[in-house]
Amino acid sequence: MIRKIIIVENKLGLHARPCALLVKTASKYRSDLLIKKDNIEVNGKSIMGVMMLAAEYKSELELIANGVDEEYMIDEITELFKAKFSEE
Amino acid sequence: MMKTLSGIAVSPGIAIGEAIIKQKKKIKISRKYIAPDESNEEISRFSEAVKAEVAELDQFIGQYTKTKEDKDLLNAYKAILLDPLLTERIIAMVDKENFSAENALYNFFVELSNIFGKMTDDYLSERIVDYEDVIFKLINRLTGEKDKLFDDDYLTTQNNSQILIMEDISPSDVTKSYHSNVIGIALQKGSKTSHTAIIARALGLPVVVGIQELLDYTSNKNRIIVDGNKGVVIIDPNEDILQKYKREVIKEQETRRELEDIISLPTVSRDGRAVTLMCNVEIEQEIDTVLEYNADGVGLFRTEFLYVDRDNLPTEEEQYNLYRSMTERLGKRQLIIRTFDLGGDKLAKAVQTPKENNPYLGCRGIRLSLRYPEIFRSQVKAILRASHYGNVAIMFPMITSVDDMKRALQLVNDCKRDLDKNRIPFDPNLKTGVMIEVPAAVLCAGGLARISDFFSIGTNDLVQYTLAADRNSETVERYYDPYHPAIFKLIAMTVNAAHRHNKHVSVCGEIASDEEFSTLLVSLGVDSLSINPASYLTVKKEILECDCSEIEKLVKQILKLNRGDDVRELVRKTASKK
Repeated sequence: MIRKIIIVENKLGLHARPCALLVKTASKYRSDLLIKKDNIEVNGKSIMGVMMLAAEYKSELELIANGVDEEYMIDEITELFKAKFSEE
Repeated sequence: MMKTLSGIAVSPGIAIGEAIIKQKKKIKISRKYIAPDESNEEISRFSEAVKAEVAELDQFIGQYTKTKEDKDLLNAYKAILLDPLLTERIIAMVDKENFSAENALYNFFVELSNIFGKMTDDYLSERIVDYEDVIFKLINRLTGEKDKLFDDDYLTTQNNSQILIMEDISPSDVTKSYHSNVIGIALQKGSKTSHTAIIARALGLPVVVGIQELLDYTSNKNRIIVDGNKGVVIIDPNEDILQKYKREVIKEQETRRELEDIISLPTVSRDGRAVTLMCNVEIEQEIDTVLEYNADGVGLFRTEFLYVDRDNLPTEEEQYNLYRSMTERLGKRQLIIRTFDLGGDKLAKAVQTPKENNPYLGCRGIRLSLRYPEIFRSQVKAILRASHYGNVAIMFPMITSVDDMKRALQLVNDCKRDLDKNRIPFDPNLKTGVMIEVPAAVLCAGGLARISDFFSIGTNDLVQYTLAADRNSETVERYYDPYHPAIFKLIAMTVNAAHRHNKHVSVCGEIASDEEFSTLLVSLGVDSLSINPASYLTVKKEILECDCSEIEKLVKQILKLNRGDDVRELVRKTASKK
C-alpha cells in the first residue's frame, strides 16, 4: 500500500474535466485507489466520489493506492496533478 | 431606453430578434414507487436508459465536437453516467425502497445538491449543473416526458426571429428551440463549459450566458441583439446600433452562403489538382450529412460499434442489412468499410481479447480478426453481399506485412466461393485496401501495393506507432506530434510507392480534418481525404483556395527538417505571407 499527500495546483480545483481525467487514469490500473480529504474518503475510480470531495485550489489530498501496480498508478496520477491537468 | 448588458460569449454569431421569456420546465415524476416484484425489471430499465444516453453522447462526440475541451467535457458526462457509485445507489434505492428508477435518480440528485451546496468553493459548488444536465436528461428519458418548451399553436402563431431569454436552459431545450423560430439565446446563469454551450456551438446558434440582471431588464417582445462574438446583449437598441448590427449579420450570412455555395463545386485546388473528399462515418445517420454536403462518399466506415457495448455478436444478417441500406442510400458514391478494429482500448464482450501488458502492441485490428476467423468471416460475407447493391470497398486495419494482407485476401476469396456456391450475388470486383498505420507497412508499401487496390493512411495510429507515444496518455502528450517530420516522410513514401503501382492513396486520420494540414497532405500527393463531417466544408474551402504547386515547395522544405516545432514555424510563416 502506498500513501501520498498531494496538493491541488490547478486554479479551478477538481471540477468535472480534471475529475474525469483522474478517474480515467486510475481505472487503467488494477490497484484500488482511495482519495481522502479532511474526513471524507472516496473511491478514486468514481467521478462522483472524486467530485464530492470538492477539492478546491491548494487543498490537500491523500492518495491511498493498494494493489499490484500501485507504484505506477501513483506515479501517473502525481504527474496529472503536477501538470495541473493541463489546464493553465 | 437602450440597455447593454455583458455576459460570457459561449457560442459565436449575431442574432437580432424579439424577446421571449420562458421558465425552465420542472421535472415531473408521476410514478414514484414500484411493486416489490418489479425491481429487476426497473433496474434493467435504468441500465437501458444509461446505455441509450451513452450511445447518444458518443454519437454527438463523433459528429459535432471540434475541440479537445468539448470532447473532454462530454467524456466527463459519460463518466458520470457510467459511474459505479451512481449505479450502486440507484440499484439500492430501487431494490430496498421500491423507488422507481426516475424517483431514485431524483433523490440521488437532491442528495448531491446538498453536498455541493455545502462546498465553500463557488466554482466547484456550481458544478452541480454538470450533474443536473446528465441526471435530468436521464430522468426525462425514463419518464418519456416530451419537451414542452414550445407548444404547437405557439409555434404556428409567432413570427420568425425570437430570442429566447431564460434563467438557465437544459441541453435538449437548446435543440428544441433551434428547430423552432429561436435564432439566439441569452441566459442569466450558465457557464462556457456546459453541454448546452457545446450543443449551441454545434448548431451555430448565438448564445450569451451569465448575464446578471438579464431578467430584470427584459420584457416579452423587447427587441434584443445577442452578440455571441463579444458576449453582449443589447435590449431596445437605438437606430445606430441596430443598423451596425444589421450590417454585421449580413456579412455573416454572406460567409455562410459562401460555404454553402461550395457544396456544389467539385473539389479542385486553384492550380487544378482534383481531390476526392470523403467523410468518416461511425453511425448510419451520418449518411444524411454526407448527402447534404454532396461529399464524394464514405472513406472510412468504422464498424467497432457493432461489437462493443453488447453481450452478443452481430449476426451476418444484421450487418448485411446495415451495409446494404447505407450503400443504397449513397448510390454511386463509394462506401469504404473498415473491418472491425478491436483491441487496444476498444474491447468487445463477445470477442475474447487476451490480457496483455501492451494492448496497443498486442492482438488488435487484423490480428484479432485472423485469430477469430469465424467472426471475421461473418463480417466479410455481409460486406460482400452488400457490395451487390452499390459501390462498396473493404479495408483492413493494422496490417504490418504482406503476409497479413495475403491471409485477409485469402479469407475474402473463401467467402466469395461460399457465396457463389449458394448463388448469392456480390460485386466480384470488390476493391480491397490496406490501412497504413505502422511504419513497417510504409517500408513495405511496394509489396502491399502489388496485392491491393488502394491505401488508406490512418494517421492517428501511424503517429502513435512511429513516435512510440500512446495517444491517450497525458504524460507523453507532447511526444504525440503529427507535425513531426518523420510523419511527413512516411506519408511521402507511402504516396510514392502507391503511385508507382498506379494505386490510390487516401488519408483518413484526424489530421486530415485540420484545414491547414489538409492542404499539406494534398500537396504531398495524397489523392483523397476522408474527414469528419463537422469539418467538411471548411476543409473543402481551404482546398479550393490553395495553390498546390506553392505548397509543394513548402513540403519539400519540410521533408528536410528534423523537429516538429520547426515544421510548425515554417508552416505558420508561409501562411502569414499569403
